[in-house]
Amino acid sequence: MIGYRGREHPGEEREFDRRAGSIGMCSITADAGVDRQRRGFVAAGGALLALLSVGLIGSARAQTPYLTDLFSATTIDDALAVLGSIPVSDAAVDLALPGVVEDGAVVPVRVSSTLDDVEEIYVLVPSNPYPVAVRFEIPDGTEPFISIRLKLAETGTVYAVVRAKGRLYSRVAETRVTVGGCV
Amino acid sequence: MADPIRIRAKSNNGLTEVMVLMPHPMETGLGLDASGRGRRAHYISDVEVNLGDRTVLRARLSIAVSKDPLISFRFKGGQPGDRIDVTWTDNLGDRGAGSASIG
Repeated sequence: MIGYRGREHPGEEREFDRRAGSIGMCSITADAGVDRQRRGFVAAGGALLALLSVGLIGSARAQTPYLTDLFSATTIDDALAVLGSIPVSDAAVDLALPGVVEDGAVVPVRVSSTLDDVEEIYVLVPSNPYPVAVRFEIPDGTEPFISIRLKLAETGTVYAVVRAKGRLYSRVAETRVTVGGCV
Repeated sequence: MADPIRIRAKSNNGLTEVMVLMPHPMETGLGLDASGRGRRAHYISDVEVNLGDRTVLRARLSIAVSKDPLISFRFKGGQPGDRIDVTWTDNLGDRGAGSASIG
């Protein structure tokens, strides 16, 4: 565990209310025209995916609009509105990530939980242009344990959000990024 | 087109640990290339891992996932020799698939 920290912040629900101030270093490099193009493209990609997931992945749950809204949220508030409620900070959720990372393009993140009946695990990065980084669906029999590598645009907080028995729980950790990762 | 998916799955005391590496550029679409034009977003959006008929993990990724996504997780069950199948779909409609036996 050396070099990792997963801390609990007493005021972390309040922290969730804080709007992600800057949109991140990434979009500063793109001019408005490019940005509009990109958004149009992302929307088109989303529509294509909706078709694909109906036909190919064949998920029985009609969750595509929900996920599209969630992943296109540009602020943490919007993302939480789609999730449905403010997560409760709980030590039963564990989030491990390096306290300092040199390269924001590759930041290892590990989320686990001791809660029963975990249905979903999310990782939210408020300082990224799109705060919702990843969502895992945890079927019965799969452990609430996930590790993945993420890009972090800048120094800031990372939230792990776990949905168990329909309720949301969270844990926050902070990491300092010396070189941003949105390239 | 894409490099093959690398999968490592190991069964240990009734628990199977899986590590999946999916080579993919995971381009955010936010930066500019050398000529100053916007790059097109290109990223894996959906991943599904199956043990036979049983789905053991489903993931939705975004542009915030690092290049060559690496995902580890664990599930109950799975015997040495059982087959793990991984499929991904990206935002441009490309798909990738790979499989491995549990060791």
